[in-house]
Amino acid sequence: MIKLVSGDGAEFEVEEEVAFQSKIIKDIVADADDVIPLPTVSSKVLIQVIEYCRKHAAVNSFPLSPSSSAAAAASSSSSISYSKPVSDPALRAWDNEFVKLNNSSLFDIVIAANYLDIEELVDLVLETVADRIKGKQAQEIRRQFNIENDFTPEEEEALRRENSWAFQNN
Amino acid sequence: MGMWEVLPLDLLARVFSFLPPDSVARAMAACKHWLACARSRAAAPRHAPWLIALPARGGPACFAHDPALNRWHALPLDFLPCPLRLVAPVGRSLLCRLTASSDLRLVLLNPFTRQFRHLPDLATPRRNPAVGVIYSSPFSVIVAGGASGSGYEPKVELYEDGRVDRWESLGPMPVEFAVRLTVWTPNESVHAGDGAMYWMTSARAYSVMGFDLRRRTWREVKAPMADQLEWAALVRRPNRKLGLVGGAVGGQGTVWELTDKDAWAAVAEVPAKLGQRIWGCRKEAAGAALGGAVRCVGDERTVYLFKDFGSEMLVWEEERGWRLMEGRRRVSSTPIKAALLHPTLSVAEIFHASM
Repeated sequence: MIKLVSGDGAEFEVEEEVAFQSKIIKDIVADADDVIPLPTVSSKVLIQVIEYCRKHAAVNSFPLSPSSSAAAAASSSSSISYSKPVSDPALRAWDNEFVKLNNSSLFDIVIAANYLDIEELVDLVLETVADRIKGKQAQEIRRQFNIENDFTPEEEEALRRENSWAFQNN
Repeated sequence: MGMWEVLPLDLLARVFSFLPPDSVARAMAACKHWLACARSRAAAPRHAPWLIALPARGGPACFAHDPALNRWHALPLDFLPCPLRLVAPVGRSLLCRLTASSDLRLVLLNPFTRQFRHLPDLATPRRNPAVGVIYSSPFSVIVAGGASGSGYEPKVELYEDGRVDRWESLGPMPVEFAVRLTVWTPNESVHAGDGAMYWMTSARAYSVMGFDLRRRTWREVKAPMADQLEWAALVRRPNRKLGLVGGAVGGQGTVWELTDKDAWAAVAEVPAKLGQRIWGCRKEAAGAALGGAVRCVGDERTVYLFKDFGSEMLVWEEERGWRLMEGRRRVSSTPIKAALLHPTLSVAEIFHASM
């Protein structure tokens, strides 16, 4: 068992194969002890991340293996390798339920998942965010993601003119 | 709150990698941080390439087809000082030539960012040479054959982007190859995994000309069913193999792959009923004089077959098989030249070299 300690001091005992969904934890455990402090991750977020890792560890039945990432790299013609898309339909459905969260919670999870190097979870959250952006106008995106418009009206108009093709619904 | 506007650039670029370019164009108008990200980072795309079509004789706009939504966009080309003709895709931009110049003058174009950049003039100016693209980063362009004055130019030149801003001579080539590449080459090239650049020529029967870049030797590869093919084009296949797509009358069409033993292996057949929709079943209908020739563009995973832009297109994806797609109905049937491209709104891509 491995003990994870959140930023607010809560301790979580998890099985190795669950913790090893995080590449960074796997690396730390390889040359240190089994108590891992995660000062930038709150207990609320850590609970969610562990829930995700527990589910994926159970379905994958093996931790992130070098062969799965190598296969993903080989199947992609680009130089950047992405995590392999989840192929199990039941797990995919579980993932879709997991990300039914507000944008603020998703933000906390993706920052934690990126810090812990859990590629699949990063991509799951970012794809969800992309789906919430897709097809929307800038004003609607700002409202949804609580983004302040820091353009002048002139700058905004220039951008719209430059990409006028994308703003038309033909 | 306001956290999403400070999402680290690499994560934001990954969000954008899931989006088609029209959604990126709107998202980058959300705030300056998002704009900077979309402009500076070109994350590897996760969606199918778009078909980009330029009017063959230049025009006020080019057209881009989003296969996911089966939607056409018109991208104005009003920023160009002179009309361009599409030669080939180069990564996420287009290699074009000036239509006003009879000697080959090449220009890089990204119609999505409204950027263009002239490549230097060839060391030996010439008309209608074969042009081949090696896409790695940075890219290279090979030019072979062509005509000048009253004769042919049996010479090969190479341009390597980001090195020296001029063309380098790769020496002479057999005149026979220079002649055939000058007159009969549609300029679709494939740089294959065997280190050779291939072009299709259509003198009498179709055949394939190969130039080994390392040894600088030329060879001819016979096309499959060469005497029956009414149309044919080269495409890249997975693992950088050479592919050939060709068809005969009666709707017959095949995708082949060149094997290590220089034989052609059929990878897929066009269902005859679908083929007939595109290139007809009668001999006359397939000829270039009536209704135009069949055009083919493709990359490793996708092949588009169509006659012109206003009518139906036949699309093949290895995983999904063949399907018909509507053309852009509202445009008259102007001759077009097309390419498959993963659009990017990043200005950094390709244009950095001489800026």
